[in-house]
Parts: sequence; C-alpha cells; structure tokens
Amino acid sequence: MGMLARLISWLNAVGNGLFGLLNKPMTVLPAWLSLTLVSAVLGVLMLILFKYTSNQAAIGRVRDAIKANLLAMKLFKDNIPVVLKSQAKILLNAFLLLVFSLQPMLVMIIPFSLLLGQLGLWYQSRPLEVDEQAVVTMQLADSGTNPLPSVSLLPSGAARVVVGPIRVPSKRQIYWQIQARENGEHTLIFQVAGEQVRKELAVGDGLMPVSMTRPGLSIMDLVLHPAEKPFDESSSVQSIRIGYPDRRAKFTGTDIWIVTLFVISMLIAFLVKPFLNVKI
Amino acid sequence: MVADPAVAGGFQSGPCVYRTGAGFAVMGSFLAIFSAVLAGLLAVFTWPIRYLIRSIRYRRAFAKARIKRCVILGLDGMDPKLAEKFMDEGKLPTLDKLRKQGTFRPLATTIPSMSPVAWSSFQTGVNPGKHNIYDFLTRDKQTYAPKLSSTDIRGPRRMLKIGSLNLPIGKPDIRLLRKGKPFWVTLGENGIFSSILRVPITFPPEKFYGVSLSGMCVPDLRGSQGMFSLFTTQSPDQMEVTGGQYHHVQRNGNTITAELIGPDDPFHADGKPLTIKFSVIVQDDATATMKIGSEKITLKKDEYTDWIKVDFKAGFGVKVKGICKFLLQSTAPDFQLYVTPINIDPEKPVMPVTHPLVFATYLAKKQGSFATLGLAEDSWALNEKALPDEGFIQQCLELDEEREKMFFDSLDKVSKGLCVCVFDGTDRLQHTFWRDIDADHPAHDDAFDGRHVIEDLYKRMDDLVARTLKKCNGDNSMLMVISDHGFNTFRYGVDLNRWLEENGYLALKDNDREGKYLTTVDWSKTRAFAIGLSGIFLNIKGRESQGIVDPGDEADRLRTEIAEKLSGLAHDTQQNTPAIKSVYNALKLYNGPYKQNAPDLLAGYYPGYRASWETAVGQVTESVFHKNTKAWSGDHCIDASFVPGVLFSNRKIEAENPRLMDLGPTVLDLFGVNVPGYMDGKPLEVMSS
Repeated sequence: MGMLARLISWLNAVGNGLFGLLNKPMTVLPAWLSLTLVSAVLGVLMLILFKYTSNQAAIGRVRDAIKANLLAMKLFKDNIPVVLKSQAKILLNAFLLLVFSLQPMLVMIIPFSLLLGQLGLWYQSRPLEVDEQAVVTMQLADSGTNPLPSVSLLPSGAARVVVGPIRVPSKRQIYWQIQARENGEHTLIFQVAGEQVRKELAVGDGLMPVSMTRPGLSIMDLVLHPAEKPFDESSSVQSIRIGYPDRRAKFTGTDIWIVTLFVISMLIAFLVKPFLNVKI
Repeated sequence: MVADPAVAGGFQSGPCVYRTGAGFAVMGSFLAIFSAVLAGLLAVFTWPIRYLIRSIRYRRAFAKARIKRCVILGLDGMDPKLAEKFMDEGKLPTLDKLRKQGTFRPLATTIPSMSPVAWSSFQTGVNPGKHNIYDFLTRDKQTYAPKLSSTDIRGPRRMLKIGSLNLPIGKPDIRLLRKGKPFWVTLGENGIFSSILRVPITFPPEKFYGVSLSGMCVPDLRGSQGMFSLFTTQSPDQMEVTGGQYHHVQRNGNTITAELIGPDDPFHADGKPLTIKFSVIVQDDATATMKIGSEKITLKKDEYTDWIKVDFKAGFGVKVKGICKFLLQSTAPDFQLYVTPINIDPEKPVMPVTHPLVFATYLAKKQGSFATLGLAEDSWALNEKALPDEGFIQQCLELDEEREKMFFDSLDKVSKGLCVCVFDGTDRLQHTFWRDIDADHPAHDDAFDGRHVIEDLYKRMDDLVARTLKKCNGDNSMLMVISDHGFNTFRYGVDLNRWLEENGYLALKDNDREGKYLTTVDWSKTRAFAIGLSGIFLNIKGRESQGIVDPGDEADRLRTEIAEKLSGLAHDTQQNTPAIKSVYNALKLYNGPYKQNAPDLLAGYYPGYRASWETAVGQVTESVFHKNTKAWSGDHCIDASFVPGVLFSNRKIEAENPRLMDLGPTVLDLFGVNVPGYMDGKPLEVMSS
C-alpha cells in the first residue's frame, strides 16, 4: 500500500507540473470551452490507446457478427426463430465485446484516473471569491483516547478566521470557518503541536486549479486529490479539506463536468475513429 | 451559509473515474444491445400484425403446397456421362444414393447449350425466344461490335461539366436485358420466400419476396467481365492480353513499386483510370511484404492473400471501393505478382449485386469479403499463362468455399420456401482441365497423367451434396441437384467467318485479318457474319446499319442455303471428321416476342469442335479449323443433344426426358402455385417422399 501510494504521489507530482503547464493557456478561456478542448484531445488520446491496447481483429469480427445478425433480423423478419436466434447472438456478441474491451480498459484505468484527478482540480469546484466564506476541516490521526493536540491557524493576508477552531474530539476533527480576503493562490499554515502543516487556498474569479483536500496516504484520496503533497502516515494530521463552493454552470459545474467530458470525448472518438481506423 | 463539512469538498466521483476509461467498452456493447433489443422487440411485436397481413394477402401460400422447402443446388456444367462413370466406380456415394433412391436423369438443355441461355430458361421456364438471351454476346446493330447480351450498363444520363470536371447527376442506368419473369418472383407473389444465390443472368437483381445475390455477368470494378493484372519484371511480348493486363515493373534493390489500375475516373471526361500505388519489399525467395493504401500485407509465394480492400479515391471524398486478392508467384530471378480482377466490394457495393441491397452487406459481415464478379474464376489468366494450373485450382476451391458458406447459411435461414445456389467451379474446372482426361487433346500433357482434377471436383461436389442432403432430411424438403449443360472436349475451333468468306458470304477490306470485332469486314459485300460462340447473323437491310440482304424471301433463302451448306461441315485435315451436326434456323426454333433478336442461324457442333476463339470476338483468320492449344480445353457450346445437364433428386420424378425449363413450373406446382400460361416448361410429376 505504502509503495503504491508513494508511486501515485510521485506520478501526481509529475502530473501536476505537466498538466499545470499544458493547461496554462486554457486559463484565459471560459471553463466550458477549455473543457470541450480538453475532452476532444482526451477522446482522441483514448482512441489511440484503445487501438493499440485492444485486439482490434477480434473486436472487428465481433462487430461484424453483431451487424450481420442485426441485418438478418431485417432480411428474415418473417421467420421468428431466425429473429430470436439472431437476437440471442447479438446479446452474446455484445458480451464478447465487453470482454474484448477489458484489456484496454485495464490499461487505461490508471493513467486516465490520474488525469481525471487533475481535471477535477480545474472543473469540480470554483475558487473562493473575496469575502466569501468556507469551512476548513482538519482530520487528525486517530491516537486512541489521547486528547486533541493544540492546533491553530496562523493569521495571513489570504483569509481570516471567522469562526473556530471548533473541536469535535469524537471525530478527531477541527473546523474553522474562514473568509477569503485576497485573490491568488495562497497557503494556509496551521500550527499543530509545534509542527507546521500547510494547505493550499485558491481565491479568485477565473479558471484556476482548486485543491479541495490535502490528503493522507489513501489511494483513492491520492487519485482524487493530486495537487498537494500527502500527509505521512506518521503525521498527526491526516487531511485538511476546504469546502469550496460548487461550480454553478450548465456544462462545467460540480459533477456535471465529468458527464460533459464523457459525452464530448466519446463523441469526438466516434467521429475520429474512421480516420484513425479504430474498431470500438 | 456554511456548507455541511461532511459533504462539502471532495468531489463524489469515485465511480465516475472509471466511466470514461470504460466508456468505449460500455458504449460499444450498449449500442449493440440496444439495437438488438429494439430490433428484436419490433420484430416480435409487429410479427402478429405482419402475420395477419401476410395471412390475408397470401392466404393460399403453402395451402396447397406438397413440400415445405425446395432446395436447388446448381452445379454448373456437371456432365451426366462423367457423373454416371464416377458413380459406377463408387466414387460418388451420395449422388449414387440419389440415383438409386430418388432420381437421376439427363436434363435437356437449351439451344445453344450455354450457361446464360440455359440458366435464363431455368429461371423463367420459357424458351429463349421469350427471354431474349441467346449467347454471352450479341452484336450492336449499329456498329456490329460485340456487346454483352444480358446487361446494359450506361453512365448517368446527365452530367454537369465544370471545366475539366464531369459531375454525374443521378445514378448509372443498369438494365437487365433478360426478359420474362423468374419463377421465384411468382412464388413471392404467392407469399413464398426465396433465397437465390449466384444464378447466372440475374444482374441487376430484381425485386421479389426474398433475397438474391447476382451471378454470371456481374462486372468487375472496371466494368469488364474480369480483368486480371500481372506485375512482372519480365518484358512480356504484349502488355494487353485477353481478359487481363501485363505490367512491366522495375526492381529497385528489394523494392518494387507499381500502380493497381482501377475504374475510370467518374469525374473526368478524359477517361483516365483511377489508380492505387503499392510497393512490395521482397524478403526472401518465398515472402514479401506489400503496402497498399493503409494495409500492410505479407505475401507468401503461391498463396493467395485474403480479399484485400482497395479504395480508389475519385476526389470530393468519393471512394470507389473494391476488393482483390494477390498471388506472389516468384521473387527471383524475376518478380511476378498476379492480382485478381478487382471485384465490387460487397460490404459497400458501388453497383447493386444483391436484392435487397443490404443483403450483400449482410453476407460480407457474416462471412467476410467474397467474390462478386460474375465470372469469378479467372480462366483467362490461366489461358494466358498468367496463372499456373495450381493457382487456378486453388482459386476455384476458395471461391467454392465462399459459396458454400452463403449456401448453408441460406439453408439455415430459409426453413420454408425456395433455396437456389449455383456453384460455378464445376464449369470452370471442366473447361480448363478437360485436357487431362482427353489424351488426344492438343493441349494434353502426359506429365499430368497422375492428376485427377475433374474426378476430385466431382468427389468434392458429391460431398457438398451429402452435406446439403443432411440439411434437408426430415423437414419435407425436396432437393434437386441440377446442371445447365454437360461437357465435352474442345480440340478444334471453327472459324465460321472464314467459312463464310470462303463461301462468298463475307468479304474483308484489303484482306485485313488482324482486326477484331468485325472492324475489317466490308459490309457492302457481306451477307452473313458470325460473332459469339454459336450464332451467324445475316446482314439484313433495316436491321443492321449497313445491311444488304432483303428481310423477306432473300433472307429466308439465305438462311436455308447457309444452313444446308454448313451442316455436315467436315474437317479436311482430320479424315473429314464431321464438325457440325446441325445448323438451326432461329425463327423456326424459337417462339416468342424476342426471337427476332436471336442470331439467324445457330451452329450445333459435334464433340471436339466449337466456334473458334477468333470467331467469338469477330476476327477473320486464314483457315477454318484451328487447333485449340489453350488450357480451356473442354466445352459445351456444341450441339445441345451431346451435352445435356443432370437432374438428381431425393424424390422420384416420373419423366423420361425432363428439360431445364420444366424445373421452374415443377417448383411452382410443388408449392401449389398455378403455373403461368406463358411458360413453355411443364411441371414434372414428383412422387411423395
């Protein structure tokens, strides 16, 4: 687990640099347009990966069988046994198609999951606006019945503490309500039992990466929140989360962006596939 | 407003992460399942309505039928005498079983005994005077040039000219010149479904209740009846040969580059053909790699490739799609690559080769690409020595295999109705390997004495019949195994035009004997001429553009005179062996509205003789008789009495002299459908199983 988490963490660091660089020009575009462009590129990339990681000949044969059976249903439509047999064969071949798609799916899952994590930074939530408030949640390590350590959020020009810290020992969580004060990519610094820990804070009104959580060494959290260095297992802090507001947009808002990404990348892939000679 | 810290932050897209990666898998399968379910539901739920409509419309379908299904397996050219010989020798157990338990009879063919004529009579149940097909070729009444007798293909009527561009407006005009109505159309009108595969003279396909794939006379992508290509580093004597083209190529190190010639550019009036560049890199004596279009193919010596898709780009994003096979014949010392005629791609046909159109796509998806060319077995390549014997045999076997797949699929799909499938390999292999079984043939070679191509062919067909019979057992199916004609040897060609010239009926301009297609004939002094494989035409005023013979009494007298003189023509250098048995007057032989289109006279040759190769293409040579040294050594274009076909059946048929044209009426009768009065054929009496 530790090795894998560290590997993902390392890949995230590379991805952050690379994606930040590649996505820089996109920041001048509206979110919907940049997402459309990213989805189109992703669609083509997936298509190429699919082509070279799948058994194209077998997929071609299965697809031909499906089409043949669909046509058989039309050509011999008055012969009900033929229609039913063809239908059964189509279902069988559809299942085979799924089986043949497993290999490329397995190959694609890791890189594309990491990529989705990166995209989530940009399209999942919007940064805080100046004067807007949000809740910061710090999850502390579970150390039995020990009392919560002394924790404070150091003052900065980026945000001021409105409420907190509020301690919930039963959950080993500490909450602050903060108010953003200045546009930019800032860092919140916490003093935890003599140790300083940091969490990024995004304030602004344009398209910028928003890291909602600085995670611990959990695989899923690392995939979903790639922007910041994860906390060590030995650290007394296990995660810090900022409750950024949802993006309120038709196509790029919270949880909608992934649907948009899916639809556009699929559409582009289907449009481009004849030119790249890919069978899917 | 403070967001609930428990849910705020952390996008809830864990499962979503996998959505996109798995998208292709799910989408592909989903579309397939969705289409299947939708189509299936539609089929199932609309079935009662369709059943009701069909029941009302065709309430008498199958009501009087004595069979549930009729399967007709056409083995083009199967000869009754050879079949009998092999059966007697115990080599054809299934056909022998049919002979003993069902029926075996010689099946009277048409005059002339040629596939286009005979299969036309089979499908329409009428004599040629009613279906208008008398030969592969007929003459153009204006130019005297030979033209295909069964199909007329013309470009779109209107063209939009923009500079050098010619943009066709509308579809090409493709007409079937065969008249009459196939009996499966009549079956369809009575609610009986048919599957008709590769029956000759069915192009373009006609609409009816059923599916069909056209056979003989479907052109290749270049519009010809089959034009092979041979790419060679040798310098051939001539580049243009009958049925194909030689292409001289240069070898640059191990690489050969060349262009495959396709159809004429439809957008340019200059008639330049479209081409595809390809390159071959020789690996060693037995292998090479080829790049054509986006395909990279490994060529192995003496092995055909699969069908390769070739797309000819015609501009404006238009592609003319074809398929062909490649055969690497040698890499050293000379490179030689044979390419089959470019067939119309059945998956996306540029011309209709099936009814309905999607039936071609269905077959292509079901079994992969397959030959669509009418005369798919490239006997011209063998004749012109562009293909070795083994290469030709292999080609025939592969084509038969394709045919079998579609035939057995149709047997699975059509449980009630008619299934017809014609296999051509029997005809082509007997044409080309009769020299093996005729020791006196000019092309006979003792080196091949151990070879049994024709015997193996008959055994293979016996096995095909066995497998077909298995599919017919126990479901009230009637099986008929038929051929359109038999076979005999073809040792000498008779130049009818030379005979006409010697007898004062034909004159040449400046004694020019080089020109083909009757271009050297002096029409002002010519009263009769021959073209095609059996016909002599009179040069009649008002019918032919430069006619000189009065259509009335003079023409009648001339017909009689030529027929009398030509009958009994003897081969002077062969102990005066008679070459022609009878000469038939078409006006007396045929009846029907189209008999005027027939050749005026039809020569019925004795076995061993046939119209010469030169006569077929309208060339006049210096002698009447020519040794036939070509691989095409067997033939059936002789007097019909010598080459009847076969009729085998799994049921007893009470008829002494069944005729090919009786089969359509017999099938109609078996399904309880009234035989139309215009049919010349009569239903044969079939016993119950």
